[in-house]
Amino acid sequence: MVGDVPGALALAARLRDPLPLSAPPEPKSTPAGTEEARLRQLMDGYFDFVWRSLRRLGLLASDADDATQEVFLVVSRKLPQILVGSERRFLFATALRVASTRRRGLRRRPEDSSETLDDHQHGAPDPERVLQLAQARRELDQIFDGMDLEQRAVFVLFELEELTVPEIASLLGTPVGTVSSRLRAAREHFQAAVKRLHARAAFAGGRS
Amino acid sequence: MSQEKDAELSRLLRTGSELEKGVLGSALEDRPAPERRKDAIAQVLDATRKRRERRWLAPVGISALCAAAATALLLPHGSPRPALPVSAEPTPAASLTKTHPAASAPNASSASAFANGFMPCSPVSVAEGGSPLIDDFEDGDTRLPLLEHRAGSWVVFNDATSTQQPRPGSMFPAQRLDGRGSSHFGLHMAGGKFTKWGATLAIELSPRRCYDASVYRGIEFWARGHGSIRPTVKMTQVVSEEYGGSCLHDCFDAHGTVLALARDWRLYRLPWSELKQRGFGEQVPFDARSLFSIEFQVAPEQTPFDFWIDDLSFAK
Repeated sequence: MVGDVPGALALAARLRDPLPLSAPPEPKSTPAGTEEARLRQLMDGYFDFVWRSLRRLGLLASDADDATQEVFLVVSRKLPQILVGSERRFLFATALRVASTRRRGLRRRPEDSSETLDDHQHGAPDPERVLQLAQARRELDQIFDGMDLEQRAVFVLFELEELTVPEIASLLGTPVGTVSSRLRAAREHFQAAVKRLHARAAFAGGRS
Repeated sequence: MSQEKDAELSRLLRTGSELEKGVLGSALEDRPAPERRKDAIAQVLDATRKRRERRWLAPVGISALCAAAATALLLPHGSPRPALPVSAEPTPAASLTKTHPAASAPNASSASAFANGFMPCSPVSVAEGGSPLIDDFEDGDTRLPLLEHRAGSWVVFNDATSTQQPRPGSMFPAQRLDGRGSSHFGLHMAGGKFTKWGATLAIELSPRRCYDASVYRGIEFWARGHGSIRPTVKMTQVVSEEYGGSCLHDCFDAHGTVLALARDWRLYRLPWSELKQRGFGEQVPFDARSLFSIEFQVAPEQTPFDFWIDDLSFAK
C-alpha cells in the first residue's frame, strides 16, 4: 500500500533509539576488537528473522533476499553505534524502513503475482503440501496487502513472532494502547479477509 | 483492549478457525533458501571487507594526490602528468542488490460504482411476474425450465476437504422423492465434514446477464434435511468483474440467511428484506433488479450435511 509509507518511515524513525529487548536470546557477546566477528554473529543469529520479517512486511521471496542483504549492509556500516542487546530492535527497524522503501517500487508487478514453487519448498518436499502452502501463502499476501504497514508489523510480531503486546510496544517505541488498537484492527481485518477469500473460492469453485 | 486482556489474548494460530490457522500457518514456512542465505552472508562480509580496505586506502590516495599535485607544480610545464585513479566509492547496496524500476501503478479506484445508489446492470433479463417457478425438477434433469428468460443448470462444488454427492463436475439428475404430494423429483445433496469453506448447490439465473426479479418479493422453496443451510441470492454487485459482476473489492459477501431444516418437508419463504450480508465484504443494499445466482451454501460448521430442495420459485 503506497499510502502507508510515510507512516512506516515515521515508525522506523522512532525505532532509532536502541532499547534492549529480551527475547529471543541475543547472539553471544562480541569478541573484543572484531567487528567482522560481531557482524557474522548477527547474521548467523538473525538472518532468518530479518528475511521472514521482510517477507511478512510485504516483500516477495526474491526481493526479501536482496532486502536482507541491504539490511545487513546497513548494520555493517553502523555496527559501532548499535548497542549490545539492542540488535534485534535495530534490525527490525531497519527491515521496516527497507521494506517500506522497496514496496513503493515493487507494488504488484504483474510478473510477481505468483512465485515459483521453489520459493516454498524448503523443508516441505510433499508436492501436495507445497501446493497447499503456496496457495495459503498467496492468500496471506493478499490479506497483508490490505493492511497498512504499521498494523501489519504489530500483527506479524504478535501472531507470528509471538511477542507480547508490551514487548511489541517496547520494540516499536509505541504506547501499549496504540499497539493494542492496531492489533485489534489488524485481527479484525485478517478475520474478515479470510472469510472473503474463501467466499470467493466458494464462488469460483463452481465456475472453473 | 486492555493490557490485562492482551495478556490473556491467545494467538490465532492456536485459537483461530481452521481457515485462519491454515492461512496464517503458511507464514511459518517462511525461511530463506540455505544457498541464498550463505551467498548473502558471504557478499555482505565481502562488501564490508572492501569498504574497510577502501577506508585504509583513502589516506594513501589523498597522499598520492597531494604528492602528484606538488610534483605537477614543481615540474616544468609540458611534462606528462601522472594519471590519478580516482573514483567515487560505490554504494554497497546499489552494487550488490538488484535495482527495480520505481514505477508504482496508480491505485485503482477503491470505490464501487454502486456505492452510492443503484446503477442498472447490463445486459439484463427481466422477469415479467407471470411465471414465478424457477425449478420443480419434475423434468428429471438439472436444467432450469425456460421461463421468463431464465436459463442455466444446477451445479455443485466444494472446497475439496471431504466428499459429497453429487460430485462436483458430474451430471446429476434430480432424484425421486418419497411422500411429498404430487411432486416426484427434487435435488438431494449430502456430504461429509468440510473444513475450508464448505459446499454449495447453485444456479445462475441468466448466464452472462444479470436478472431483474424486482417484480417478485422474495423466493420460496420446500426443503427437508438435518442441520442448517444458508440460501443466498447473489447480486452482480458482490460478484467480481472477472466472473461477470461489477464488484471491485471485498467481493462475494452475498445476501442470505441461515435456515434450520426439519426432518419433514417444509415450505420456506424468504422475502428480500430478510436477506443479509455476512459482513466481511463491501456492504451493498439488496436490490432484486440485478440478481446473479441463487445458492444453497453449507459452511464448515454446518457439515456434515444431507438435505433436499424442491419447488424453488420466486414469491409474490
